[in-house]
Amino acid sequence: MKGFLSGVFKQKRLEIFVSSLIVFGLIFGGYKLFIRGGDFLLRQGELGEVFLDRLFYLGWSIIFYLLILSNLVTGFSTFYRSPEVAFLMTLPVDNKQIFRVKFIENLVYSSWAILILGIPLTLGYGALQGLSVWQYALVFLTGILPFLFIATVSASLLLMLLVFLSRFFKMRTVFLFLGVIFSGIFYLYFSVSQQDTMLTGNLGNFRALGRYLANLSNTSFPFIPSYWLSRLFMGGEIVALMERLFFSALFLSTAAIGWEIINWTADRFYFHTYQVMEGQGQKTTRTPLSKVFKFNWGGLRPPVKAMASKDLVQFLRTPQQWVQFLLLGFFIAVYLINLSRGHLHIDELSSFWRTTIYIFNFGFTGFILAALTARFVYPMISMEGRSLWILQMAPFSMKRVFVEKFWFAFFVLFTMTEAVALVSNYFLGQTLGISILASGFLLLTSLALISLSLGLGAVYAQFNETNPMKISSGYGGIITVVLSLIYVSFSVTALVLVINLYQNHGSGLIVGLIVGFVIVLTTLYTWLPLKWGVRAIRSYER
Amino acid sequence: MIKLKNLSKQFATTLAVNNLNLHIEKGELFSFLGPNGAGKTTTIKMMVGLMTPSNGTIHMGGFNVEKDPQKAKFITGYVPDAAFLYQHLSGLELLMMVGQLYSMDNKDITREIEALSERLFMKEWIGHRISGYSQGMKQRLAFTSAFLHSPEILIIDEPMVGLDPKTARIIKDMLKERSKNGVTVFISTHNLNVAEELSDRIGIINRGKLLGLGTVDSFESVAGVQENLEERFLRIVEEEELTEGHPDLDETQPS
Repeated sequence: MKGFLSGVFKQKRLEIFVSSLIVFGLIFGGYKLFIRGGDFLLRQGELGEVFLDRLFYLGWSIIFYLLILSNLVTGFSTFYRSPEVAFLMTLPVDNKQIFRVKFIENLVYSSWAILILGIPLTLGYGALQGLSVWQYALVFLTGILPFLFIATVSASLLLMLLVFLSRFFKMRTVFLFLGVIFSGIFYLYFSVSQQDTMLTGNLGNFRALGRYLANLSNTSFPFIPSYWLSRLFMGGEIVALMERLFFSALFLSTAAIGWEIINWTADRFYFHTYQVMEGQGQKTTRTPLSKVFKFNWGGLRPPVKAMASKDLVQFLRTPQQWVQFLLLGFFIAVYLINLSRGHLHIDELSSFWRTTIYIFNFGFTGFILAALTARFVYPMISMEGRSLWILQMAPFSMKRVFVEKFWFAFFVLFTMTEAVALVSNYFLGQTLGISILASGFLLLTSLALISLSLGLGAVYAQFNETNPMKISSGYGGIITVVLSLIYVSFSVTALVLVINLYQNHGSGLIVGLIVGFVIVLTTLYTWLPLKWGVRAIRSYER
Repeated sequence: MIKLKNLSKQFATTLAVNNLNLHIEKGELFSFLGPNGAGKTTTIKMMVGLMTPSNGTIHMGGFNVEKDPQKAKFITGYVPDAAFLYQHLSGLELLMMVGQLYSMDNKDITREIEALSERLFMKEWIGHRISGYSQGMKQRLAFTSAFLHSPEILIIDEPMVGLDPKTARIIKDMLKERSKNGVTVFISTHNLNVAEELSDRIGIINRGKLLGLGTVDSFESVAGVQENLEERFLRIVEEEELTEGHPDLDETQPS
């Protein structure tokens, strides 16, 4: 028994060690990459410096919006759908106290994963600005922490408002409304500032970049916390000590006022909105979606059809899922629309910059796929929840369940990312040969990332959690994101090398070796996680 | 039809099921009685393939559950003690899905759903989302999904939980009818009245060990002393807890 326990402990310790190594690897790798990229930009003179500042500001702006979105989605189940809240409500505990506990829980849940991804950006930028240790401490304590706090306050207020409105409208309508609002904000943000074209287009054309930055100077909106954070970080000569202290004070005072407002609101509206949500479960509807189960689905066998129909219907009836999917779709659409507008002047660019843009575009598509798989494929097994027994009891192997989920995800995500790649390549004027090559790499990337997310999602399954966003922002989710990004980096590097060799008539043997390496890596990424996942589910007992 | 041989299940330091031997014939309605934590649900979960035995074998309709799980599952219907069902689906959608999982034709599924939902008074709400169902409605749906593919063996963990008296009566009648038609029914319960009313044979389990096996009558008149099932059950369990065993009864062989 002692041996067994020590074995379990050792295995757990090894798991934590390996996972921590991967996370630190990502942070260190991301930090180094940012430093390298930053150095390159700073060598381009003042323009590069300003460009770097804008990049940093843009990064934290996106993180701020993502934080609000993440808080909204996790808050929905943390504040209103948690069985723990239902139990606490029956005890002689002040509702405001319950809200406070859940607020902290929501803050931690929705922030830690995004924070890990923000660390390399922060450390790298800080190092380039020459921040001292005390300046880092100041930025962390009076900048980043209140930044996360303010995002949670804003999202909690918005959530209470939405739940209140759901008394009068269907929850689906409320979420759709939210989706439209967010999309509108993003559209205005991108179309006014054209920040995305900065990333994809005019890097090689500094005259155009100069015009672009002049236009951009009016768009750093000073009333959102990402602007204050950027100001806190900026180097000594740009921002004086007093200014740094001003932004620190601004952060702390805003967070304090936010805390007062959220407490006041919770005191008056939390229990009321909780009751509104309790009533939601009683709403019943008959929808045309039921027909999906009777649909022929191209002659699929009944068990596969049953699982696919169930996955589709559940996805479409979970607002946390389809709202985020729509938002991601909107991001992609904005990206493609901006490529189509012809700001890029591809013909003016040198061959080096043209290839760089192609590669960036491929990396962007790979990144989209990594985000989609980690967010939507990773929770697929956990989302079976405590109803998993229905599939376990059915007369087929769990391997078949994995195969169904794999093809379901592959069909949707590969089609989507391949369409993005082909359309963007068309706008970028890429040659047919390179387009086909990139499509081939994307096929391998899809196989690898979908298998990785599905397999690790089963290994780290959380059957008691009903919120998909919480599931994907858990420990296993972060490991999946990191491993996905590592794969995408290898894939992009391999594509760079192959394109270089292709354009410079390099050795066919080396091209073969590189492609062979990617295929071996893809096989490992595809086979191992699925094997581990099937084994984990087979041995799962409750 | 159901054969458990030297079946054991060990959880860390707890032996939940201890060397259980049981043989249940085709068409028999068997009740597994025992106090809370006796090992009833663990035994059932091993029988339906949701748990793997630490030792021993299980045969359902001649199929080894570990070696041939798909064939064993194909002829089995299961109703768990707490039915967790997909909340975002409607009852109708869930039943369509379950029918298709068992490779049933859509027409057959629809016909069975019609018949079962009428008998269990589900027609009014079967098209509504499961998230809005009461415990009793979920239990009725779980029964319907277990009956849907006309299994040869029915395994039911605590059948009457959450059911109103009228539905409980209907379920009891349905179980008796199916048993008469050759379906083997295995019920786990701590409700002695249910066991007494329905069962051809009863098995008493405590601390993972089978303490007694026989018909209701044989339990009520052992050694010339007339006791009802409740008194007999309590006496057997208490004696076992005092002596950690029951020497009077054959623990391993079916009657």
